[in-house]
Amino acid sequence: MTYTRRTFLTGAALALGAAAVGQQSSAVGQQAAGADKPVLKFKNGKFRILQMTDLHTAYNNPHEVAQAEMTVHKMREMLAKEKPDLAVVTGDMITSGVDLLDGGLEAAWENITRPFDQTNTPFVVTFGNHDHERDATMAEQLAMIARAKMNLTYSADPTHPGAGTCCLPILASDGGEAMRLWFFDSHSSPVIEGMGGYDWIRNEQIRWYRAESAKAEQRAGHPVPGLAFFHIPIPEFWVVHQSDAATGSAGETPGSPELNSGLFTSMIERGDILGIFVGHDHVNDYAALYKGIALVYGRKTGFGAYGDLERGGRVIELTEGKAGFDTHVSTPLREELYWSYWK
Amino acid sequence: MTCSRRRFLAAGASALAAMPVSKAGAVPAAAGAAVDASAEPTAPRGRPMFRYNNGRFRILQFTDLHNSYSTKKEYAKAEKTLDRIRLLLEQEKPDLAVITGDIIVNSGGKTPVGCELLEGGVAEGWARFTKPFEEAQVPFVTTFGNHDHDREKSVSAKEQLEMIRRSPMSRVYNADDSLPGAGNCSIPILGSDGTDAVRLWFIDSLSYPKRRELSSCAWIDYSQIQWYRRESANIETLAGRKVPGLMFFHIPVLEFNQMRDRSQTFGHYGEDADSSELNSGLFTSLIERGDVLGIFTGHDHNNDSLLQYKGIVMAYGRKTGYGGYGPHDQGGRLIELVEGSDGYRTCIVTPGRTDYPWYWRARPRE
Ligand SMILES: [Fe+2]
Ligand SMILES: [Fe+2]
Repeated sequence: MTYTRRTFLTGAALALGAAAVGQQSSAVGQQAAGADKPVLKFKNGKFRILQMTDLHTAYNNPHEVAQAEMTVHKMREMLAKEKPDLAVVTGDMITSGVDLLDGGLEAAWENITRPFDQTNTPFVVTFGNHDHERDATMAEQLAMIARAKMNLTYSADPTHPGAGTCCLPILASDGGEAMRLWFFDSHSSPVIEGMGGYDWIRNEQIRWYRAESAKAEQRAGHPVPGLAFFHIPIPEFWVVHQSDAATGSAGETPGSPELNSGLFTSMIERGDILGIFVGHDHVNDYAALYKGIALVYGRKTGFGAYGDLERGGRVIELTEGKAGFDTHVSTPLREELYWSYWK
Repeated sequence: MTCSRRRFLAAGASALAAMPVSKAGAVPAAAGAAVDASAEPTAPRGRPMFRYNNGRFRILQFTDLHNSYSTKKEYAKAEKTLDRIRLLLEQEKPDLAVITGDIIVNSGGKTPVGCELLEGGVAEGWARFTKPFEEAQVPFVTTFGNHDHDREKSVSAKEQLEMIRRSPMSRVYNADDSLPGAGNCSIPILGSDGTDAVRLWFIDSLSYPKRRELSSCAWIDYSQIQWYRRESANIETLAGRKVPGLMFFHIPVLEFNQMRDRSQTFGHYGEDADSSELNSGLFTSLIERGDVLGIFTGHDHNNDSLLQYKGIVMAYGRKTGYGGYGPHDQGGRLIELVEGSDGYRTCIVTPGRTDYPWYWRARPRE
């Protein structure tokens, strides 16, 4: 994290850009519209997610350009190794400028999405604080991402702050809804002056989650087990940080917002979320169980910015008909930090 | 407190001695607190409202009375507590008294209702409690504490609220019957021009969660937070501006633990805030709405401290009751508002004394 180095944000307006573009309707909470879009479905009883995070690609100088190329190469290696059913990139994908890149910001997003399209891997992104640090609105950036044919990211409600807060079902082999994946834009600096630290997942996003979660439960007749992905860890990570409960590196205090907007408590109350997967803190990659919900960091994937952990990703393996998951950190030549949570 | 065990802080007690002390009068007393009927009109929908009294409005917060009538010893303590309330009402002559919970307790969990020695049972317990306010003609609002919920099996919170509402001086009501607990409501203080000048908010902070393994204390429910947000937005629409608010409830929200940093904490912080372990986001909603300027709680008897955090003043009352653990000098917290002013005064009052006077300026976010 390290907040001070990242305060490029020119104004609150950036975070509030109406997400009119790149939004796909999801009237019944089913998979985003578009017949050509891939459907997420259990195959042979398994579903495999590869989380990558904090790519930190930048194009201001030749050094950054080289690092961005290494990062994209690492993404390809990870996709080739893990062949996931879905890839999730939890933010800080492009940091600061794109001066040296022909095609500018659009080309920078294309660099990130191309590996997914080339390997036919469906993917979702959640924006990180750095992704908010430029003049383009979040809706405009999501529209650039949405040009990729394998993209599944959309804004469920264009009035939400930021963009890309959405959910997707994973279908059972019989076609019913087996699980649900939730994605949140965790924003950047607080819109409200004088608050310090980072913005929080906002009341309207939490209200949306509660409503969609209740609808999914109604359709299924029971709470639908889910996983949540976003960039900035919520303050509950402070409780498990460096505790015995945590498996993996805990190299820095979670760069959470100073205020707690209650997302975790809402998830407890709804009773459907099994795990929360975040990025943001590059030298943390632990998993810990807290009050029945797994709090999990991804492994940093990008070569830009700080952090000495070997670049890679996190694999999350789901089993049809079971509420829980197996997970581990994966790098091109190694697997480590095996951890499971089964309810 | 005691949702769980008492967790005392190491260096707590010494802070009390070091604080400056002034005689009663550091907070100017309002002229004539005798409340005539016209000062307490009834709102169109039967909702109460208050009015500034010669440009001032003085609130006296009592908390954690811990009245119990299961043994003769407890009975005597409860009488002492009610006498302390009488004395402080006479001394301060407030325009409103707010009692932030743990009013009737059930004798350390050993008895079901805590009113065994009273012929009229729980109803009589509440009637005894409301008596001093009737004698002094001071309107009052209660918020329930965890112990007030302890007799839920024999009498519900909503039934207890009706017992309280029998008192002619009671102003508490249920704004929305679907909300958990009882007495979730908001009451305006009207300015001399008749507009909503200040909003008082009262929340039932409930008692224990259904799943006790999650937290020893319950958290303020999502539906209560959404109710506050809706009401706050409606009030803003009607008034054409955000109306400054003060909020009262029993169990401190997790943000009160910021008081551990003693450098900014004023008053006596003698134990960790026994909040819910889960944060349901009320404080952040207050920040997002931008109108509430102060939160006043009880529950942790060893604390009467105050901290301004992210612009909002979080304050404990002074424990008023003789039952249960806690301070030797039972008292209250006075909050004084001046019409048209952004300045707020508060202090701890005990018989013949005023402690910890604090002044802060704040206004709702534009
Ligand atoms: Fe970040
Ligand atoms: Fe209490």
